[in-house]
Amino acid sequence: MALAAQNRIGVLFATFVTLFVLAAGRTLYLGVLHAGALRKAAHTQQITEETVPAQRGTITDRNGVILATSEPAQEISATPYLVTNPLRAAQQLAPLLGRPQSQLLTELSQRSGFVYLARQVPAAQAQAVLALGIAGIQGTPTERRVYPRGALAGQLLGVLGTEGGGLSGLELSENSILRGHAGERRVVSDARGQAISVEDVHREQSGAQLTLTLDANIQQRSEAVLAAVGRVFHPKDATAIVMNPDTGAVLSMASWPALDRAHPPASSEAYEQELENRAVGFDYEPGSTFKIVTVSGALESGVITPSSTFSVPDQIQVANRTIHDAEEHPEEEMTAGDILAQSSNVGAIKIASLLGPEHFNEWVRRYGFGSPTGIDLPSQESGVVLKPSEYSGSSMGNLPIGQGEMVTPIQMAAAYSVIADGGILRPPHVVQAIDGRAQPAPRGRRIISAQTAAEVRQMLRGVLAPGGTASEVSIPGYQLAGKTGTASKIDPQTGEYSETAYVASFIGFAPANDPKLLCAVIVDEPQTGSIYGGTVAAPAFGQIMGFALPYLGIGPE
Amino acid sequence: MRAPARPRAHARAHTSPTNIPHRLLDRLIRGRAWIGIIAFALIGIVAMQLWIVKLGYGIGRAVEHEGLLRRENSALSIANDQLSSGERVERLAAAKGMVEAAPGALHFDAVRPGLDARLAAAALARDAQAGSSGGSTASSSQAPASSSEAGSSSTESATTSSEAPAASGESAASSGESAAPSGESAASSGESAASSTEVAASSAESATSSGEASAPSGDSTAGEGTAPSTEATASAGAAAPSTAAPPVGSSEASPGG
Repeated sequence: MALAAQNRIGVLFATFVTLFVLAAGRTLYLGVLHAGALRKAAHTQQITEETVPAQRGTITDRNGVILATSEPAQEISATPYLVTNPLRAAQQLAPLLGRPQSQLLTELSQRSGFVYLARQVPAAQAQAVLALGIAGIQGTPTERRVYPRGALAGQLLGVLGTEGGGLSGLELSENSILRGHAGERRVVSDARGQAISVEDVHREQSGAQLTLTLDANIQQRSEAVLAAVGRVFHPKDATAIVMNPDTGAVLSMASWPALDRAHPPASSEAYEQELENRAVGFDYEPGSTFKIVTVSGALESGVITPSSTFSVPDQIQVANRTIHDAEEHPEEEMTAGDILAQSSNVGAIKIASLLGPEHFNEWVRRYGFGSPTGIDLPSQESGVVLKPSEYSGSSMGNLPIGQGEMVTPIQMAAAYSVIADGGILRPPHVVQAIDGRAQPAPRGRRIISAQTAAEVRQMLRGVLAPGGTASEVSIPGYQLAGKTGTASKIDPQTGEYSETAYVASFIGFAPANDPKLLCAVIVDEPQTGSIYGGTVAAPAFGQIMGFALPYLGIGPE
Repeated sequence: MRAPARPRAHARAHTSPTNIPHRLLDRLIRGRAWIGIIAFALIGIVAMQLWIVKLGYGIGRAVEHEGLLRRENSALSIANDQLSSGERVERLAAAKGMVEAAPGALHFDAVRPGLDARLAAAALARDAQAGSSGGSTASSSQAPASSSEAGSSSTESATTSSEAPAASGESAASSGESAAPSGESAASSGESAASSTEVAASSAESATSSGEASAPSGDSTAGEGTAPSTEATASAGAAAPSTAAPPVGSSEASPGG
């Protein structure tokens, strides 16, 4: 009996010793021999270092209307060699990612280590994809740019590349402050993948919020009016700028055709053209709208007065060129105001001849032509302005009427703001505040006296009066002032001025006595209906201003 | 040879302040209380570890929740922005039969320097008087003031109506001299005249107001700045395509404006 008990105790002891030895051996294997690999595997499975994308700054208009914002998204990618059943995976993913099943199958069947299946997928959609739990399909957090108002101010705002960097417009020029800085986070997960420890290695820093001087409603109206111009006159393109002449703040900067981010053109050339902000990037010969430079320069220089009269025939010989007025007329006595109102080329050339080439060039430069306006937008052109030494014999027959120099719409708008703002040239600007901190308005400089500006304003009222070139445009209750322009374009084939391609423009402001709002409309190559600034661009000016003036609470004088 | 001072060192250890709980420790070790203390400490450590893990879970969930809220916030602000789009509001308003007010149909109130301040002061004085005196007395004392105000407003109305024909007549004639700035009118004919001019200008809704009022400064040429006729406005406002033919001229001729 005692022997049996002793045997049983011995067996038990031996069992325990064996188990102990086995446990010790296993411990030795896991803890020492295989420790490195296991530590590595645990690190991979339990500890992940995530990049926390920085939220790109929001762009709003002056009233806080969101024009561009970012929302969380995921980059959905695959590690094809981990996908065990590519066909089934493709079937499941296709409806969620909105991609053809065949394409997905091809991508999932290739023997590569990594492939993007869809980029910047909205978070909810990505969540549904990841919830399928397909091995080898993963998501990487990122941000997705959203433009709630669609194509509104498309060219001004610009676009982002697939990597989130700005490619054009404000997205490009303000990229450094909009993008923010991505953060890094270390997450320890349990066996079920739930985070048990979250540590910010460094926090992400969101991009700054950009408040623009733009007004979404005026912008929308400007774009709608340009779209109507596009439907009626079928131009190559068109642009409209609305700004406050007192501050240089741009309230609207519209381009037609509008930018369609969702359906970009197939050719990169066409896409680049669609991306171009024509208000700052379109070089054109301004035509008659340029005559204010000639007239105001002559007034300020004292070579003419508002009551000076000129004997104006309907054509004039300058060197080897004969320059005509738009319409035949007998030789008549005209004041400087009449010359502007009727847009007489001959009269403007006669006024410029009193200034002389040197002084004329000085005035052109003083108005800022030939150099960037200083607006806070990328891709702006400087225009082309000849030096007096480059003038030919007929240059003083061309330049004073807006031929032979290239300008941009924003340069012309800035020049007219000089007349509207009592003689001060202010750089236009579109950024009002960064992260709520108001940006100081760029300083202006006086280039003509307040009296000269008032005299030119008075003359420009005649353009919209009976007998003026835009007499059909009016806004009930408001006194308007402005100038039409119809400029022939150079035919690239012949190198001569075309008889079929024109730029129709109108730049004006209101109320005429104390301007609060300025609008420039430039229509490039209207094809049908009409080609004149007075009939193509001026009505668009009337429609935009007819909305913007009362909308902004600017009453009649 | 001198023996090392070991016992003295031992004695110092006994009396050292760090060894004060020595006796207590001895008692603990000899007794069974230490089992409880160690058990409590072990349970505490485990509880603390669990609490830390729980906290980690909480943080993990909070981070997830933060992401979810951010997503919702983005989606809502985008939806809000889309819903408040002027284009949509215009479309909905048009569907309900609303039309956009013509610029000329809008009335802008202008401050009448002096007069408005005087009226406001009078109204405040009336209120103060009404507050200090009794209810029935107040109403009876207010009546004359009201009637005097009505009188003044009727005077303005009368002025307005007397000027309105002039304004409309000018509008019809499509000449409408530039609107006289109210300040100038005020300077020439006093504050009440200024107010009546403004009322006339706003209520008549013709492009310009009283042509016989003093001309604005800088106006040297009559006829300039003329307000176009209503017909002209209508045609311009519609942005109707003109059927005018392209200009005919030599290649050297600029079409001008």
